Formats: sequence, structure tokens, C-alpha cells
Amino acid sequence: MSKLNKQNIKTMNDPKENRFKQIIEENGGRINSICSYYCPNAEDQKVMVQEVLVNIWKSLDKFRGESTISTWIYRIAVNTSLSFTGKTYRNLKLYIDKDPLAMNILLDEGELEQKLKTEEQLEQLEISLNQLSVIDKALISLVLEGLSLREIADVVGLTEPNVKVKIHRIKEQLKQLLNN
Amino acid sequence: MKTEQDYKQEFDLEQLVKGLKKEDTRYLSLTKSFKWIMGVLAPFYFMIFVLGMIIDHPEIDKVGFLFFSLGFLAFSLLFNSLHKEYKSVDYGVSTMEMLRKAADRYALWQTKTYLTIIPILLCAIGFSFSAQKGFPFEDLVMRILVGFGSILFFLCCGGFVGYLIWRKRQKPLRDKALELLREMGK
Repeated sequence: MSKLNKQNIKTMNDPKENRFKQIIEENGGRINSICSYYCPNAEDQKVMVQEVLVNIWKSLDKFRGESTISTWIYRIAVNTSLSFTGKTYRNLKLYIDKDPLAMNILLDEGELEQKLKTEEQLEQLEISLNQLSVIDKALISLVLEGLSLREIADVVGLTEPNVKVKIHRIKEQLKQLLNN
Repeated sequence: MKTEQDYKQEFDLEQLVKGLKKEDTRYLSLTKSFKWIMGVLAPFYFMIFVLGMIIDHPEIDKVGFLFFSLGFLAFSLLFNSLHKEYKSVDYGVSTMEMLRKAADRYALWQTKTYLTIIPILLCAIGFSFSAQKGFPFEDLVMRILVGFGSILFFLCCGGFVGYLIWRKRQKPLRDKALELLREMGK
């Protein structure tokens, strides 16, 4: 049997590799999306996505299906973002999509219309977001991803009421920052 | 949503998987080599001790080999537990749990630190018994104590360097984990 055929059969028979590839195929969008909140440019984003993929591989044997695969992926992504930015975590920047739909999640409709008049105001919102603490930024990134309170609680390991209070507090803080 | 094909184009997924598997294999072979070395050294020194005491003249310096043997055995057990710890690195746990584990892992004084001292001390005792003849003192106890004291001095120097490395590398990570935990608890 040729070396190439042997290698192909070995790959086909490797359940870890197959599972890994399947997870990436099904969750590539999630990984890319969550990383985009933390990395301003494509190159940094690519490095972080790669780091997330490495950590998925390392943690794959431990995944027993106790949480949903999406929660598990978000956990790895958020945990990696905290480790990835380890050296410069104090300067951890949150980059938001200037899509009004994304903003709608954070602000009330009335305020949204008022606040989204100009791109400058959106930039101001981004600046305000980046004045939040590291954990608050991580929470906001999950809110922007459209996760429910229950799911966010599962990802970060806090109780659902606790997450609700924190997010409410963050929104109040954001309003204050924007008003100032 | 990005497909596997998209990732293949961006990351060369095959190459990444190949690298990850290679890393796993490299680590496994390192573990095997270390276990093999310890598995040989511990009984080897024990044999030297037994043969030395039975066949050769039973002398106090041969007791050193027994301590070396015990030291290598303890190193082997310690390495086994470190290997398990490495294998249990899991990024799929909740952020709170990950931070708690990180804070424990980077603590200076932990069970692992105390357990590391045991094999080192056993080897130090082994050395002080084996090398005692080299010290120019009449009294045997004095020779052993001087041998042990000098090796202890070098170990303390090594420990201090280790502390400085911990302070520079691990302490900031622990401080960061604790700070984030405090922030989450607010």
C-alpha cells in the first residue's frame, strides 16, 4: 500500500480528527464572529481564531456533551480571549460591528434612533464600550452574539440573575458614558 | 457561516491538525522517555545499594544509593501527577472555573511545590551520604551534615532563582486571574 493511501486511511480512522473537523465546519461562523469583537484587523483575528482552534483540540477529549456544543465553543472562545490577550489584557479592546441591528441589542429603540444618527456617535459607543472592565466586555460580546441570559450564565459560570444584574448595570453605565 | 473549506483556505487546517497531532506525539514520547529513565534509575540505584551492602562491605556511604533510589521513585510519581495535570487543561469549562483553576495553578505554595521538595531532599540526602568521604573532617556526622548543608545551600539558591522566575512569569498571571475573579464576584 502506498504511503499516501496509508496516511489517508489513518486520517479517516482518527475519530478525534474527524470530530474536530466536524466541529469547525459547524461552528466556524461562531468562532470567527466572537473573535472579531476582540481583534481589530484580519491578521490579529486570524491568530486568535487559530488559538481558539488549538484550544478546541486540546479540550476535545474532555467534552462529554454536558453543555451544548455552542456553549462549549463560546466558553473556549471567551476563555481564550482572556488568555490570548494575557499580556495586554488591560488594553483589551472590543470592536463592534457598526451594524444598527447589533446596536439595537444594547440600546432601546428610541435611544437607538437618536444615537445612530452619525457614525461618529457609533464610534463614541465603541469608545464607551472599551471603558468597561474586561469581564464586562466579555459579557457584552456574548450579548452582541445574541446569546440568551441562560446561555451567557452557562458560558461564564455565573447565575442567570447575576448575569441579568450585571448586564443591566453595564447598559446603565453605557448610557451614562454616552450622555457624558 | 464559514465552512471547513473556508478554514482550509485561511488556515490550512490539514497543516494545523498535523502540527497538533505532532505536538501530542512529541509530548507523549517525552513522557515515555522520562518514565523509562526513572523506571531504570530507581531500581538500578536500589540494586547498587543492595549489592553494595550484601556483597561489598556494608558502608555508610552506600546508604546514599538507597536515598537516590527513593528520590528517583518520588520524581517518577511527581512527574506522573504533572502529566495528568497537563492532560487536564480544559478551556471548555466556564470562565469562573477556568480562572479559579488558573489562580490555583500559578500559586507559589501549593501541594505540587511541597511534593517537589521530597524527591529533591531525598537526592540531597543521598548525595551527602555518598560524598561524605570527600570532606576533611574526622567526625562522620559532621561530614554528612556539611555535605547536606552545602547541597542545601545550592538548592536554596536554585529555589530563590525559581521564586524570581515565578514572580516574573506566573505571579502576574495569578494576579490577573484573581482580579478577574473579584470583578466577576462584584
